[in-house]
Amino acid sequence: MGLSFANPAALWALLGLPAVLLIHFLQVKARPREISTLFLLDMLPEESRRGAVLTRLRNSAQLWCHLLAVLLLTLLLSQPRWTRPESVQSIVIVLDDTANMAAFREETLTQTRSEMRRLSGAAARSEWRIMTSDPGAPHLYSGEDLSAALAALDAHRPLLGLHDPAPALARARELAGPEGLVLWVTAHPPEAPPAGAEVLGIGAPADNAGFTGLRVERNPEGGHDWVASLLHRGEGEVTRHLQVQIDEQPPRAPSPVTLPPGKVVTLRGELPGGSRRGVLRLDSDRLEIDDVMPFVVPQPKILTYSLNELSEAQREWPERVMAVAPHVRPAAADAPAGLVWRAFSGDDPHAEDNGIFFYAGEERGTPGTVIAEDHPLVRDLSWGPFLGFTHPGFTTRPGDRVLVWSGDTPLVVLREGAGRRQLILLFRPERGNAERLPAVLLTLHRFLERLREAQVQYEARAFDARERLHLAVPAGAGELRIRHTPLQGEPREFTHPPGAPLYAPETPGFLEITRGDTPLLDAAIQFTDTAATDLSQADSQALPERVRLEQQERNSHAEMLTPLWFALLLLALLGGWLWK
Amino acid sequence: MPKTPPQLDWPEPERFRELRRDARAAAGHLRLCLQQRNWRGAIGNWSGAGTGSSIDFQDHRPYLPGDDPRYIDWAAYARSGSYIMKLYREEVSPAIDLILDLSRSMTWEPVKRDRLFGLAAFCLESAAALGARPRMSGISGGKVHMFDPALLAGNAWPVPEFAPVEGPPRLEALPLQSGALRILISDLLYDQAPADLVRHLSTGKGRVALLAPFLQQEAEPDWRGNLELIDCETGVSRRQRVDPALLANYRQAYDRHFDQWREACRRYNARFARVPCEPSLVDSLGLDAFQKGVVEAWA
Repeated sequence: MGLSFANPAALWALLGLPAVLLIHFLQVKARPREISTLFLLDMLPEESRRGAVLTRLRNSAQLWCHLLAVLLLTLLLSQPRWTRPESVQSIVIVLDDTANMAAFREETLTQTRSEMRRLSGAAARSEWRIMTSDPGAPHLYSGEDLSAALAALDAHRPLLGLHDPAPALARARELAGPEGLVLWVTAHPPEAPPAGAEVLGIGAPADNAGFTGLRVERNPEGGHDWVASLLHRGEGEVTRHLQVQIDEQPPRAPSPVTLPPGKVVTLRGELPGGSRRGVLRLDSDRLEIDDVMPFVVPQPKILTYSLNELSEAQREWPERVMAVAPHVRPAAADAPAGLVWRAFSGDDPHAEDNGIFFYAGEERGTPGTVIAEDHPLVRDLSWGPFLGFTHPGFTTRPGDRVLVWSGDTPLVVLREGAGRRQLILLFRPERGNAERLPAVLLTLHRFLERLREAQVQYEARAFDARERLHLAVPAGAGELRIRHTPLQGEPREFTHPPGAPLYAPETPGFLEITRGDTPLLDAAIQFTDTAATDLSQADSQALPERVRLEQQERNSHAEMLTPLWFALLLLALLGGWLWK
Repeated sequence: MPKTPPQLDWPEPERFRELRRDARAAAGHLRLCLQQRNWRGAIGNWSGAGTGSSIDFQDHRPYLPGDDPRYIDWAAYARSGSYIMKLYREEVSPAIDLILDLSRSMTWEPVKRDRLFGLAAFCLESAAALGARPRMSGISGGKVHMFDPALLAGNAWPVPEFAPVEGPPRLEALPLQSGALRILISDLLYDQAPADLVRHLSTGKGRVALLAPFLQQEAEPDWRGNLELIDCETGVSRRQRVDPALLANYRQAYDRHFDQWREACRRYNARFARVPCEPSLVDSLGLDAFQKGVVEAWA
């Protein structure tokens, strides 16, 4: 059975030992006493001299009583407990994976290890599980070896944006069991600890300056400019140095950038003609992940469309819609269009190509209450104000998805399948308020974007770290070859099955995806979660002593001889008083 | 730096009355022991050292011209045909020198001071009852004060006009009566060879009795811990941590000190008795003083 103390702070009382010795070394203030027999003491040596602060230590019973009393008092105050030999405690440590934790890496390692060592003494055996708040990430350690668990903390690389730790904490709670301890290590301790978890706050408010985003846009000369936004969260102005590297060219000389506190500063620079990619770097500060910003010169997919199937009068509205839609252009006369606008007057458009089909026949229906379904194309759009008649003769086919209803009659239908995507508008756009209703225009643009994304075409653009990549790959194609070039470290190449979900890497850098010899994607992976790089609200929070005491109490029993020590303490105090 | 000793402490008249009352009561049970020898002095009731007119036969000697013919032993003349004088022991009134040690160690503690004056009053009462002629003096160092016998009958003894002086009493400054009983009432707490003082007291055919009042606190002090011990006479202080070992050493020194006084008294045939201060006067006299023959019970 191991000995532990429920109140180890009481061991400071051992300082009473030297204090008692010092007191006994001190000259006790002499009490004056008038006597008539002083001459009888002349033959005895004088014990102490007036004015001396210290005197020799006397080996007296009183001294030993005082020392014993200090020892016993320390023993009683420290509340010794004996750990049960069969006791096992389960401790799950959940490390916050938010990127701002990287700014407190040393604190995280030091304080977490310190708490782990303290907690390890609360039971004969400890089962350690170390995981991060990323529910999909593997555990850093699982086992009973404290040294290995402490070493496993080194592998923690926080890279996520702001996220909800609740799923990870809930999983940790399950793993720990009803008697176990879940320790949530974060730089932003919440005001109230999460349910079933204890909090160890390891942060401290700190300044941080970094990129909040970057875009590449065309300049009036027809070239490209990079436009970067930077934000300094902190006290007072700060001057950083910005370095730009384009493609494989040597980096340019750093230029100073002055950032006022709390304001977003936008910087712009021209890219040389033919540039494909580049990196902006700020000199490092406490948090490095937002000090680099890779970019690529964007090359979006272009969706071609055709209005040839419409009459002159019917083209007016589609032309207005397509004029404000991004990344679309009319198809060449001899080339197939990615999207065809059609008008139909029968019960069904009966078309086989991708397109937007709107009703142009006679209005026969009765306007009813307009309700939108829960679908990405119409989600959060306000179709309620729509005024107009629907086409009551339309009959949905298997696979059709009604997006908007007018009473019990379909108003907007999505038809997908057999390699086609069609949006069927069962109303006459020029009637009612369809041309002025934002929900109509936004639904159309969402549909256009969906068509554009599904188009198999080379694309260059930026993604956020860990963002889902929706890559259009022709059916039956071979494996994708992926080359990831992080800004720090060696490039990595690997293959990926075309149908499997694909996510952007965690670290900023570049990503190239090819299939065979055909390039599909050039991407810059950026970290732009500004909330995750805010260190101004970081705080520390010690693990309450109560946690260790509860673990200890659960796995140990109190010292049986406490009444005896108490009685001895009383005797020692009494003896110290009597043996003056 | 020694402290300046304070003025002589002296009992209040009321306290004197109480002490005199206690002394009279004690003198009703006990008296000074004058039986053991022949005294010199004026005519009185106690057998003197010379010849006198008492009824106690002392000796014969041839008749010399001028002798009182009334003391011719005619029976001896009938047997021897010579005038033989029959001598009788003279009866005298013994002289008593009562010497009070007025050093501060005797007067500083009220209990001890009471015992000093109580013993003095007892001696005076007892002397009066025995027909002796007391003469009382107080001494402190070399300062001597002779008390006026006429004033001793009252309840307020005159205060000597000197401050207590440190050191043992210097008896050479004190006029002693030849052949007197010399009673010294002193605590004897001074660092002096006892023999010198006893020898000086016993000069001139004096008979010496020492009554040494003592406090239990002096014999068994309750000192403990770190003390600044201050001599009540000289004001000299001494820092001393008192533990049981030191107390044991002190008690040995205290006992040894009075052993030396006993030895000196034995050598000079003086009587020595220690008188505790805490019991009543009659009780305290009934202890060592009675056993050592300084006082005796009335027959």
